[in-house]
Amino acid sequence: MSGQANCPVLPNLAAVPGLPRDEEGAVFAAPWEAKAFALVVHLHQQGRFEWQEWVDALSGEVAADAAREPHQPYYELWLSAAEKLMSRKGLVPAARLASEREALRAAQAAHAEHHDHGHHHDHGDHHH
Amino acid sequence: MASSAHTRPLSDVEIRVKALESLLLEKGLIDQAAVDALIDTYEHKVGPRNGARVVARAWVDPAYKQRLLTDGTTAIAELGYSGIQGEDMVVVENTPEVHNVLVCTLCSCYPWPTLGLPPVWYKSAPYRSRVVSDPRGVLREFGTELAPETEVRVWDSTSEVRFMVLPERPAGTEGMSEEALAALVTRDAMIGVTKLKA
Repeated sequence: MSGQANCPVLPNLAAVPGLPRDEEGAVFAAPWEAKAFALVVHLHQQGRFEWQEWVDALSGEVAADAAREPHQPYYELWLSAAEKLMSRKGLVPAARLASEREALRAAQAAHAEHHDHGHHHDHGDHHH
Repeated sequence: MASSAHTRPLSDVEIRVKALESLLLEKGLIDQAAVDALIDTYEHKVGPRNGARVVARAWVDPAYKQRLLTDGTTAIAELGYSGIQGEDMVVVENTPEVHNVLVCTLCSCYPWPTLGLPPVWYKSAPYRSRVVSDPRGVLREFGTELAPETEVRVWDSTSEVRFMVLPERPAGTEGMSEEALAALVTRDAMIGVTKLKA
């Protein structure tokens, strides 16, 4: 499906602190969690960092969260760890990331504005 | 009420993920197809099992089935599942006379709290257009042959309403437990591209 000649092996998920999983592997509560998970696994499979580097980065976030009230959801810690590791590795500078987020928020606000004053999609039960 | 935009607003954390993904793509650090394939591998882990439990309950409990078809959102919430974006769920029942199939023609709205992550084909442009123009042809590609007299209804998701198909209970499952029935229910059957077999 991906067009890759060989199917890369998944990294050792058991080494990942606190990862929500069942007997078959990681489990997610929402699509964005699966995407955040997939981005990290994919970058590792591309050789951008060692799996142990990732485990250490995430462990840092998990440990910091343990001392904090209220605790953050697990995949928000995952995402924070990913953002920091990308920045540290020079893959995605933190400033670029911040401006990209701002651009997305602005685009979303503009979009909502447009729709609040605009049309509505005539949807529903197409019967064919 | 919020906008009638087809896509709901992204939450802050979704914006963070999207920003990261966009920049990684822009820099050529990730391969979209490979990331999609990875997500595809995991898609079932978000949970078509929730939907399967809803279906099994409806098969064994006629009163529940009635509530489910009348007010899907409330009946699904009875089992502890809800759309965190607050969209309404409408459940459409497959019968020998009527076969329902889901699509989102404009983007890829999908009832993921009950069905998990959408499969990659659901989001593909060919599926989104062809299931409307030639639903029987698309169903045939999924191995689903319908009798000529069966009516096919195609339901197009919106940001406010997500559909889910209540598949027909397969013959030969009389006396099976609710749990065993739930194990028969697949994601594809709840999208309406396949029928279930015992």
